[in-house]
Amino acid sequence: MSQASSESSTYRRIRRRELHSPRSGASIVVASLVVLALAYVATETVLAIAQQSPLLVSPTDMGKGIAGATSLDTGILIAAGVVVALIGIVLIVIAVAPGRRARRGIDSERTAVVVDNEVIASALARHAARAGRVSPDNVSVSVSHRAAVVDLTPASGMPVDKDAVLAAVQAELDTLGLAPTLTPRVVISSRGKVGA
Amino acid sequence: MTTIEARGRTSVSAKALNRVVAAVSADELDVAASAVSVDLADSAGQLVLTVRSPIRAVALGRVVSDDALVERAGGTLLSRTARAQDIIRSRVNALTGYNVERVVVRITGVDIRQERRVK
Amino acid sequence: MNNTNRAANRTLIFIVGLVLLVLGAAAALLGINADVRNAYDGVAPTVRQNVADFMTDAAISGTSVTWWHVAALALIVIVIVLLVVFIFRQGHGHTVRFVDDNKTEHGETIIDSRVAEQLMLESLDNRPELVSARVTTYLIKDTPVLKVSALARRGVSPVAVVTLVEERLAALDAVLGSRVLASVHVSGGFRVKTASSTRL
Repeated sequence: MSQASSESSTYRRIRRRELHSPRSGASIVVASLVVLALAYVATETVLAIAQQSPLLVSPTDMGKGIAGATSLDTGILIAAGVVVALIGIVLIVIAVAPGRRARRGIDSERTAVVVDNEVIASALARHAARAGRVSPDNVSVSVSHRAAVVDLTPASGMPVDKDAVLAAVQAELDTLGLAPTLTPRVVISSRGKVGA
Repeated sequence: MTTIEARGRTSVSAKALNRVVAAVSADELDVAASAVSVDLADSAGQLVLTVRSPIRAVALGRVVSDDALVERAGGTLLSRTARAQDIIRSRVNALTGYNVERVVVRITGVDIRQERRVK
Repeated sequence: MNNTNRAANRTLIFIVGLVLLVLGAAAALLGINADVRNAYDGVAPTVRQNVADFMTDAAISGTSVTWWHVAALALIVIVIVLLVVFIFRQGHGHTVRFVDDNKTEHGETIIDSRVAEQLMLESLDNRPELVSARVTTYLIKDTPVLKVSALARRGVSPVAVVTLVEERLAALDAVLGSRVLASVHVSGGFRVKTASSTRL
């Protein structure tokens, strides 16, 4: 593999990693709970060996309880079972879902670039405000996975040229070179602000 | 006139040897000797030096505006370090009489200073 | 965060989720279906008794301790240790060799990643475009990559930040004598401006 292509494959890998959640938080929580559960079982085992009274349930009683599970009220079995199964499903989803982060890539050869949506939003807001001749305080931009919605509140008595704003925002998006791309949408609030 | 060759043995203590290596390294890498950490080791009878040290470097911002700065400052870090490794070995050999088999130079950081005036 | 093993994280969560799903479904099934309950009643107590007998047979002389207890405890301790290590591995830092070059029979030249990090960080200090920057190094398949996390000031174009970093990266290549791979993360806080620097 030439140096350039091994570089770009490294960069592709980096971009993919940076754009998805590492799930560190969830895995720490899960690992901690498993540690606690195991520590509890170990404690009960040690207590049983030392022939002390158990904290909650001794291992022998645990075994008897599991073997005699059918004696439990069916309602409890079903309810508990469903709850546990649902938690399991939630965990599986967390593990499998991509977990896209609020950021995207910028095209560049030299480095692997990732930008928070927030930064793009404020850059778009600045350009929209200028094109719409509106104070930047009256512009709010929200960036989602594929769309950027530019919300302008005009000054009363000074209408905003929607096309000009859209053109300016699109022009800025074109220079940014984003991946995945953003489709802009301009919304001019019907209610203006006096003396803005 | 006959000259009698007196053969003696110079024994340099490990501590002194350490100081010599540190001084030579600091000189080559253009940093203070106190910033240099030296490890002396024996490898099957051979002397092996491990030098851990920062190296003097120029600020990147200045290189951005001045391409030739790197050359004027003595070359790339890699070439300077390789040269230092070589020179440390030969200078320590010459100064102490010990034969240094291997020198490992590990640059642990940078000392960013203003460009040194040409002497 | 960058050196965490993402695959391991997701695998752990998946396995625990799967176990919970299976156990929960089994319990629910036990509650719902009478046939399942009967089958369970027929099998479970016998299994339990067999296991109990099996365990008492292996008792260590004189005590009620069995080798099984010891083995189970040892296993639990091992798993706990692994998980604790796993928990604390999240986001660890270690010195990465940036360039490991010039291995001759007379020695070796090693340049720590800290060199590149310090140079880059210094070059981003006091820049008008940035509030702050953080530089770390991590390994992607044995390749060291410099990661620059830059907090851009409000209104600064991300392209300006990227250009800034890439200019300095080129300078780093020149100073180092080797091409450096880098990733840039541009973020922007809610902060509008930072406190201005005092002029003396």
